[in-house]
Amino acid sequence: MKEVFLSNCEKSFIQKIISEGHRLDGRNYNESRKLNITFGSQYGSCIVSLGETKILSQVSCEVVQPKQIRPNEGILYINVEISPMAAPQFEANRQTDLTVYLNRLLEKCYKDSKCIDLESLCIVVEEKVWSLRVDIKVLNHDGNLIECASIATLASLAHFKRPDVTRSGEKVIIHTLTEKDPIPTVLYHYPVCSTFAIFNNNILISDPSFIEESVCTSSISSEEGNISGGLLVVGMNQYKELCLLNLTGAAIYNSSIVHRAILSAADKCKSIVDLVKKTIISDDNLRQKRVKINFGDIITSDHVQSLSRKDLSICLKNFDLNEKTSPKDEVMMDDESDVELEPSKYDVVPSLPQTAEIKAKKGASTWIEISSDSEED
Amino acid sequence: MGVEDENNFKLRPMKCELNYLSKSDGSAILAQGETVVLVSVNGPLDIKSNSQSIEKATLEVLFCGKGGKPSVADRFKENVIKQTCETAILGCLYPRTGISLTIQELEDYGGLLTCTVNCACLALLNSGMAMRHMVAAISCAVNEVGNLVLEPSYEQVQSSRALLHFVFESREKNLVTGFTEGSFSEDTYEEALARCRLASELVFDFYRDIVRKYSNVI
Repeated sequence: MKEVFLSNCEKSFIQKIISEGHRLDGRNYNESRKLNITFGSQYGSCIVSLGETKILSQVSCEVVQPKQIRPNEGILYINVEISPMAAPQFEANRQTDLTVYLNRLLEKCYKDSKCIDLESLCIVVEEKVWSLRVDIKVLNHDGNLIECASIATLASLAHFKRPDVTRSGEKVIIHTLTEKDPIPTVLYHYPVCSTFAIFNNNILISDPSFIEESVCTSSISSEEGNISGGLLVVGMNQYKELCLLNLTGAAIYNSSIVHRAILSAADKCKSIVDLVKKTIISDDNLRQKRVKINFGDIITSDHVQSLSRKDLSICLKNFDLNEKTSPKDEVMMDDESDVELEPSKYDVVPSLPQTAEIKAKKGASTWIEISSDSEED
Repeated sequence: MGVEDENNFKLRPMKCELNYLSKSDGSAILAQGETVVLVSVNGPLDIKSNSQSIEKATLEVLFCGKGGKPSVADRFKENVIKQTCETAILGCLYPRTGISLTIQELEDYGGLLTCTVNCACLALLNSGMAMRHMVAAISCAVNEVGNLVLEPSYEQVQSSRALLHFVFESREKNLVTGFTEGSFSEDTYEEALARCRLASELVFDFYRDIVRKYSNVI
């Protein structure tokens, strides 16, 4: 299926409300959506959800021969897949620009920043090393895939434990999890990406949703003379050291935007890393108490009750659903009476869909009759 | 044996959430025991003209394993699910369109395929696709002694002599799909079929509960 394009109406509306200081879901400029990390039963598997964006990450390992130029280093391989599950416009088993872009960014962030101690993955020099493979699967694409994917990669790498190995002479014995405790991966530092959308050449918005992302990237190409939008990706670790910068659109020409983004990314990345560490520690404690952890835990029944509320993605800034339930009902009652009096005021007229169809058909048939009359004449 | 049989009909606990994904037309996440599967349905949508069919909707099934490269075993599962769902979906209502079914394995502790078929059915129900009937999959293992075990656990699967999988439809409880692994006698097959047919009633009840719960809210 082809991607659904945004109408000019939507684009200009988003541009307008953002320049006035609002966002569609009622957040502030530098407010992120709710971040949630859940671990699976195996080491190194997790689902990270950032608002409605959901990503599954799984780390697996195998023993391979090292590369010729790096005989004493293990291998890290990152693979990103976007299936039609993420959104209908993606095709199965097809590499898109987005997958390549995501893959490259994650490689930059985790491979090139040398956050993993690859030398510790070596078993026998020039013969056997561990190869870590990170599989990133996008389950739901609701904007800001980069940040979500990077948190998923980091969480699963930090959570992963590889089987212990003993060498006796030439032989290498790989122990199962029951024989010997597995060894965690050594991470020198924890880098995390955060994304900013640029509007009007100076407004920075953190954690853009799908619609905000597509509006700000579309304003790169449409007005070629003066670029006002763009995405800016900043990768930082918990020591507030810069690991990655990816600039598109307005960020290339305007260095003050980049400086501002780096400043606000520093605190954000620190808090994300703290959260990742905290969840891993609490998960570890649960595992030591032999509590069975499973992805089945993400299935909750409270979603059933909150379904109507959860789907309400557009929120007003100063509107709290929980607080104002009782006065809201009264307002609703008033609204209904208003609707009955003058329904033409509203765009959405509550009528049956069939009536509209029948009307159209009538119009078409009369037109044909008239034309046939004229032909007879 | 009669009392024992009734006790055996306890299936693994099932947990389900519909509408788990916001971008898909229909989605369901289902846990049967420790096995967890996530399925999303999109469609009917327009597809390439060379894969369009004038008579009915084209069903595309994609199975994604948890990690590692896609394998032949994944293609086998896709095939089973595709053939099962094709009989269930009223595809003739949506000619020249495509329906895509994407399956993501989350946890595999035995009975992955039955869990996938059940989850696919729930996702199809959630997407509002027109269907001839619902489908319920039940698996059955023959252990070393020769006894039948319904919905075997991971350890039971590993030590079993044979594994039988059946998929039933909801109206007449007829067999839709059946496939087996290992060796067993004809009588065992007949008995397993009869037991699974009875057990499928529980799965259909579960579907009914879930849909009732959700349609109440919507």
